[in-house]
Amino acid sequence: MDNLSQFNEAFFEEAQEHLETMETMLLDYDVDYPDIEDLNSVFRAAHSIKGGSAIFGFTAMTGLTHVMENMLDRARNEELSLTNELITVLLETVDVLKDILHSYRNDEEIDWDVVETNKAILEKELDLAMSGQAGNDQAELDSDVQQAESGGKEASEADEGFGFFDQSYDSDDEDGFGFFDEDISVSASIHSDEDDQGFGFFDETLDSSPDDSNDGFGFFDDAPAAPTKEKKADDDEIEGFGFFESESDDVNDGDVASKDSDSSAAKNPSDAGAKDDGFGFFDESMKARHEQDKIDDKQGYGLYPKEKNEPSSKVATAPRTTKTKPATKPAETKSSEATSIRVETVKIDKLVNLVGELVITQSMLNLIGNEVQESVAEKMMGALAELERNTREIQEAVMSVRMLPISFVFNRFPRLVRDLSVKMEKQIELVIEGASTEIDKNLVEKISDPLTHLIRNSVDHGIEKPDVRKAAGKLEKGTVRLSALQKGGEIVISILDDGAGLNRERIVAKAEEKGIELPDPLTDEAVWQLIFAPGFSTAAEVTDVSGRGVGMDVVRRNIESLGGRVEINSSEGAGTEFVISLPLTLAILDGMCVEAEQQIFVVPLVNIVESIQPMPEQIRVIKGSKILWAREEYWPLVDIGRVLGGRAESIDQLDLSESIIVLVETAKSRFGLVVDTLVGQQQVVIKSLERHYRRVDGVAGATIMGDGGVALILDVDSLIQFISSDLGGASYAVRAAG
Amino acid sequence: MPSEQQGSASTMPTREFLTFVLGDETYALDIMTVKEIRGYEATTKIANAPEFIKGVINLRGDIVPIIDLRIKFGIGEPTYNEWTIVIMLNIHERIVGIVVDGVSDVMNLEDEEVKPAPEFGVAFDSKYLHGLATLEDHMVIIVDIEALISSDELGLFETA
Repeated sequence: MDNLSQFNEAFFEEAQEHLETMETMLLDYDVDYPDIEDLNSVFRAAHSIKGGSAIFGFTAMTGLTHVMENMLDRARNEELSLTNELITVLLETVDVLKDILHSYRNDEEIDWDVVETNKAILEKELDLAMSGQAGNDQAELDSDVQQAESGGKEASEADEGFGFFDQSYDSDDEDGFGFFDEDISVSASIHSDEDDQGFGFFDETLDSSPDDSNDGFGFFDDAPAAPTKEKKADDDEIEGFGFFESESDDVNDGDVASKDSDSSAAKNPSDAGAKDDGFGFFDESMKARHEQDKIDDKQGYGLYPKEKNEPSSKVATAPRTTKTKPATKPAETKSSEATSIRVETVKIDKLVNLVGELVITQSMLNLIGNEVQESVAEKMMGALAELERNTREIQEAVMSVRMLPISFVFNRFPRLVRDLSVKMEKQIELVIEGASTEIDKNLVEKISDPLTHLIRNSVDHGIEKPDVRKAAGKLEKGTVRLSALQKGGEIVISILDDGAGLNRERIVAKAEEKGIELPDPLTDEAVWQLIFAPGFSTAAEVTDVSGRGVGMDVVRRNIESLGGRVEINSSEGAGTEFVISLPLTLAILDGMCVEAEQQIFVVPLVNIVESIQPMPEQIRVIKGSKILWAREEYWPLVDIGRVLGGRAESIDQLDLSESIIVLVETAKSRFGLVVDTLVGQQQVVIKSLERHYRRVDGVAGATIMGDGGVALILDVDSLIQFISSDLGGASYAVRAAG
Repeated sequence: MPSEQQGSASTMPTREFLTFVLGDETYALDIMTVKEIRGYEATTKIANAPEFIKGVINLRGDIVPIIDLRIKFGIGEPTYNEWTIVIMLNIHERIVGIVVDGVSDVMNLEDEEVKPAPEFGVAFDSKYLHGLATLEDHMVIIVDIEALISSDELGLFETA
């Protein structure tokens, strides 16, 4: 069943999305002012996962989502109000489901203990919550729960039962698989009619209205689909579907089920046998439930088709439903499906690499074009200009494919903050701003861990406990503000809390205790940076949230490895802000090509302030070192020809009047780069030097120039170490920047 | 005691080696590590790198370091002309080019033809050698190129 694996993958993707939807919705859920629409969304997501997992035989998910569904269904029928505790339990269930999904995806062993435990908790909570409700509800709940349990435990049965599905899918048209989404939306829309038919399957149990049971088929009830079915009446599978049609015609008819099975059986005699095992469960288990028949209950929850006694042809119709629905409900599907497609990242990476090569080839052509003889030169130049423009556009388009809204990272934090604040008995609100800011996909993956750490940090160390906050005259509820915005060629992410702020004395004391070298002068800025030192932690006690002191240095290292930097602003009693600046993309850079010692270097354009040819009087000598006076400031100098080009003499022995000084600026410092000439501005594709070689001080990477040669891209931040003056080096530069 | 074909892909008793010349001596390396052979081209110098690291070149989009074993081991004259050869090696999924005076032949060797390397008399430390073999009365020094290229001594790879 190899071809099934591709559907498995589709299911995993879908389930993952549904789980994320559930999580987001649950987090947004306001217990005081419940939004039924949100609940419906969560319910639909749970139901989709249940349906999908059942068909593919991922039984661990089926059982769990079923109980979840029960709870949600009661909630949306306003039989049960979701409390914060219940939301927490539901969120935990979502976590367990994620784990299960992960296990299935990687062919790992399912931890049934966890699954069963979580299910038991969920059931207990549901029991508790419902105990105040009407007695007969309770009775039903019990049987319901029991069914679910047995369903989960009889996994082997389930497998057996669903093996049937697998086969039918194999032989059937595979298009059918989209259907999870489809029937959910259908059932939802039906349900919104305030008509029990919609999710009759579940509603019945709750309402305990015996003759409703047949309406369970309302699940598939899809009136709009009917015309399509008829059009395709020659297809024998589709014919089976006709039964829905009849149902939708008389939705409230108590005899629907029998009529359905009759009609479908009649229409599909050849398939009837095979289909027995299938969806019989929908009515069978319903009946079983209503009759409170313990024996039947043990057969498991309807999804596990134990009851094979009533022939019906519904199984085969299920996939059909799916097939027809997209066609009949274009409005519903278009919005979500037509606007995006899934593409493997390796394909995009390959595309990006190819475009990089194309850009290089195009520059090569440009060089050759300049040598072309008179007669065709003009035409050639025209064509080359066209090529250049097209190449640039392709490049931009391809790069934009890699850009993702940063919400991909941010979305996981509401949950994190919620969990942490519950655990730490703090009241914290997470405010997210600029979640639509786009960032390179590679950065999205890599920025997630450092951000998680910083947010944990803000929640744990930053925000105080409610009583402390109250005593300090603040709102009991603390705020963590997470924001992202694009600033020039950089993405600036800020994590701001209104907590206690960093404690300067404690940090200094701690640093001394740990034997960390103190910077001089001991500015606030310098003190804050101490918390990034390895092994540094000021938390009075180590909690399981943070405080082991392993994190902050890793945070800074991770961010710096992405070409970014972290700054800290803090004010005692008012809060702390971590500001992370990251390059927009890791792949392409706007650079200024400069030449020093017959070698080309690329200076990132974002760092450049100005390039000047210094007047003799601008060069001053302080303590034997040359320094530049420009823009009303002193600029220490870094001689690229010396430090990277291999020239022996230092600039102190050279006449700088022929040189060019490129004034650069980073977060930490300002200085001037001494080069021979400027070559020109160019967009370059960043290539890793570390891929085949190793990191080189002062060099961020390499790029391939138009002539096929290699040029090194300067890492301006790390060039600080080469500042030639002995005027305190980096710290002088910091002061100059301040 | 030819050290057991460490890292070699082949389990056949016979292995193929590419022989190359450094100064007056003939060396051989496991042909499975060879990616391609090309002429020497100008490199981009790397700041503060040892002298034997000539720099990096663009190998179809990859930035690849080029090292000159003649400088590293003080064999022969490091001259660069149109006959200077670079052997591109694939070592631990990295590409490294080595400059040699020339590439001569491909030879098949059975394990028992490989004699233990002497402790002295060879420019390379014996830990980078598989052993010695004889080819048409010439001595061929069989280099454990993977061990050599990934050694700390060359410092090509950052030791994690």
